[in-house]
Amino acid sequence: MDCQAIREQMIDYFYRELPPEEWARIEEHLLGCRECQEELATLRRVAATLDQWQVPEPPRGLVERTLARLRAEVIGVLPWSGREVVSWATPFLALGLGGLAAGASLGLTAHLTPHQGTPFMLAVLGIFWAVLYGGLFLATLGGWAPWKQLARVALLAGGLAVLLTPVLSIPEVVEACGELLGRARGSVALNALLFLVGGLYTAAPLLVAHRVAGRTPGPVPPSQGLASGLLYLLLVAPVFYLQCAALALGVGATWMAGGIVGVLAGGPAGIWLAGHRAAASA
Amino acid sequence: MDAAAQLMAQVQRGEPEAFESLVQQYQGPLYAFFVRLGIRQADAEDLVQETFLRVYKARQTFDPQRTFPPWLYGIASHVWADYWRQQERVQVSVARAAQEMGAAEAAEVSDVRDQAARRDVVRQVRESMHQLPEDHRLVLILRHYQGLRYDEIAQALGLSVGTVKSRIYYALAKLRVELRRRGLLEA
Repeated sequence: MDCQAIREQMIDYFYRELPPEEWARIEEHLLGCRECQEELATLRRVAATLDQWQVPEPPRGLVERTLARLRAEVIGVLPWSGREVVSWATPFLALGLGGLAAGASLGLTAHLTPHQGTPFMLAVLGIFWAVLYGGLFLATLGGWAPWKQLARVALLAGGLAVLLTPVLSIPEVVEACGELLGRARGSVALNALLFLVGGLYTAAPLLVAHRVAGRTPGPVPPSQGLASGLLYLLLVAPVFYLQCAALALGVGATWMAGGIVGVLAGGPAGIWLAGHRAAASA
Repeated sequence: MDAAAQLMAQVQRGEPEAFESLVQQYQGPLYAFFVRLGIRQADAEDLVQETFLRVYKARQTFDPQRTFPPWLYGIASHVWADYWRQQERVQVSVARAAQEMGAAEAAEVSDVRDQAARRDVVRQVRESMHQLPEDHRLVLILRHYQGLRYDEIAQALGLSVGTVKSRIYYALAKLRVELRRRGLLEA
């Protein structure tokens, strides 16, 4: 074996990537060849220099944070159990939480709709909410990763909107808009303002929810924002409808049109804002 | 079957504790892998987490008869590639990573007298490595620092063993010239 052939295999020899007989042959050659010994020594110095590049230990708590993220995004593990939720308990838990959320939502909003709030109507609304909330909680707790983020944003946005309603109901806001424009009821200016405010009023909880709960690794398609917006709209539609039904037809329709546009724009805008924030912090 | 492959087999059977052991065992090597590839430390943690998430999601595709590290680093390499695709300001990130790593590595050196000299060597090694083409650097890091064999690197990256070898040869030859030029290879 000549020196050229040996040198072509020197890196394989160094990394012990040769079959034993090849390795032994090079070993034997090296014993009697000063130039090849030099070549090997240089390679060892290169490796030793590379070995000086030590990187710091991973940050403390990385294992715990990784497992927590895995539970939250993939496995669907209850935080207190540490076990994978594949049992019968999850749907019941989700339905229970859905029932509680539906009850709370009814309690917060039923008194705002005296004309529409008949027992029958309230029962229908309660069932509708229990099923919808329950489904969203199930998607959040269960292992359905593609739905998890959408459900989380929709739940948070819907909850915020329901909480906002007793504090600042739609008829109150409409009244304030009318006063702002000198009670120009039916005018183009008032309708434009109601359309705008209706959009902002509806979109605001969605934007906040995206900001709080919408942080995901990697880019998120705007269609996901639209989907979470539509889920949110479904959740709050009864509250908005019942309140708008108490208004004059034109006023209520204008407000609701603004709200729908607000959701259609607010979902993708929320995704964009969350992505922009993630890019800025990167 | 190696120990990690055995743990993966347990994960496939639905034993989450086994996955925790895998995360414990491989978090350090994975973190170092990403940092050496030029990811700044704040992002390296995210990439480690993302890799384990993908490992878990794809757990049923792992063949427990094979070794675990090539499969793991194959996924990690995809995570790394996806990360760079998302970055708009790659150069800024690399520069930041260099600054951060310089500071952190300096903190780790115990002997104060050697601190400046060692930091300088580390910086020069890092800069020399970052002069290599990305695909060559990736292969060399997998061989030299992560300890994967040629055939395992080939399996991880979907390359032939010949391509892996030629990339390592090229990378080491270029590094040898670069380190010598910087005066780091004197006997």
